Amino acid sequence: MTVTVRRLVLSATFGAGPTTIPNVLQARASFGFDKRVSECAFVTPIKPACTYDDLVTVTMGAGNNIVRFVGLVRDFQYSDTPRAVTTVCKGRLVRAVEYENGDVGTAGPPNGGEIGLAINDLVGTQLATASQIVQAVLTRANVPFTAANIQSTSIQYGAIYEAFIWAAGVNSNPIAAQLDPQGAGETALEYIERYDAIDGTVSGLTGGRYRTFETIAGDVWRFLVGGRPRNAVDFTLTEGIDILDGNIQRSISDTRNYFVVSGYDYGVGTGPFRFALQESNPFQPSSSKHTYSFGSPMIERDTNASTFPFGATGQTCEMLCNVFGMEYNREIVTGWVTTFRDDAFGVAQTHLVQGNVGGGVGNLGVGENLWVQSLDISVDSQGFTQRLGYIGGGIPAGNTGWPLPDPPG
Amino acid sequence: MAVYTPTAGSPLAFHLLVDPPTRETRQQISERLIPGSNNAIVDVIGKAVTKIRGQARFDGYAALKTFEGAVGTGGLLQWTEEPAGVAVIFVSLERNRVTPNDIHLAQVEFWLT
Repeated sequence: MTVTVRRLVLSATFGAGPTTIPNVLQARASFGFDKRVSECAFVTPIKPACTYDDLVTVTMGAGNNIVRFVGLVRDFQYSDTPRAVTTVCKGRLVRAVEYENGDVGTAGPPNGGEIGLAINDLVGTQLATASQIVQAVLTRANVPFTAANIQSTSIQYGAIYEAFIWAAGVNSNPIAAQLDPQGAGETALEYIERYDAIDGTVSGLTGGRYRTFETIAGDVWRFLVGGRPRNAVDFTLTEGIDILDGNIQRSISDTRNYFVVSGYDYGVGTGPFRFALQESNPFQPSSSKHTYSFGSPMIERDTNASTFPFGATGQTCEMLCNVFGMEYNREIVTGWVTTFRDDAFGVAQTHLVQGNVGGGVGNLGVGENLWVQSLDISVDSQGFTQRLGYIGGGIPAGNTGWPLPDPPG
Repeated sequence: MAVYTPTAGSPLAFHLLVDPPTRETRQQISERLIPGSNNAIVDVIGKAVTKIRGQARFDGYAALKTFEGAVGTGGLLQWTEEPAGVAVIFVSLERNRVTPNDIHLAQVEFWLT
């Protein structure tokens, strides 16, 4: 029997000093490209000396002792018998959740209506890419970032400028203002998520939509995550070697073969821009409809070839139909595994999860590449553990891997 | 002769009979077996804790009750092996014998901190 003995490390600091937080009993950090904002909860016997909004850094490992979380103190949870205090921290992207726009720009709609900041107010031009817009929004919300990490398609948004207003929660229409004089402003993350929902592309077998999330080092990324995993494998986990437990589901319950996307509606009686795409798979022939519908007024054209109404700018309904086809026209694989490994796992990585060396299918029913959708890192009385949430899927055959760029580390 | 001095308290004298001379040092360990393999992962968690257990003799019922009141406190324990004293937590006291001369014998346990 081979026994691997490891000595655990769990430490936390706060502030610019930094100041060490003594006697951290256990900690758990959570990440996800759908979760957006990372979170860490650590337990100490008494309340640590840190206070709200202090920047906390947590280091965990069992040999590979690296920073596993950077974020801001938000909650203290007290418990008795045994006495303990759980300090809950959120990644710095939480500032985008908490920042509500209350500003009204100079580009308000001429006939009244909901007002706020237009793209021109944010970046200085009427048209801009999602990367430029998201960077401007993060800056307003005081979220630190590296410009190169905030990626996007090259699509220029904003020709139909009123669809891109970052709402301030006030209304320029005097009647509406009487009814709702001071509504809530749209938060920075809500505004960013409107772009994440539509900012996607497909070219051949490569594509997907961009997601905004945080890494274990505390960096904010906006990164292309496709419907199917990449070809390049960042890490391999194998049953009987480094998988402690797991649960994987293969399913066609959410598989779709018909995609309907609607966009901006001019209100002239012809309805919104619209496109429908019929596809097929071995379980759903093209003669059947299993529909996935999506709509956003920020989609500015119907087909990729269309130049109506303002030229070849903005996202199209057709492009998003193809993006959703990649995400939903397949057998969908979801699940999780736990491992003792303390490698620098991160969300949006591609892992080969296999039953045995060589890519064979094992008890978990997988021997394929999967996206890391979520990650939980914990140090407690059980030891050091990482729980990886996965998403993937392989059909139609031939679409099993996408040569997307390397993920954030 | 031994002395236990609770933190911010007065020295309390008693007789500590280290017989049997139980001194246990234990490390919290997590052992996880990997299903389907011949391997195990052993994680060493935190620091080891040393526990001292022995027989204590109290010369009177009042002395016993005084010590019962000190259970759960941290303090300094001095006995022949550690004449300078070591920092401990007084974890437990269990009386198990009383003589006609009002001598009380009890099991005591201290954890070194």
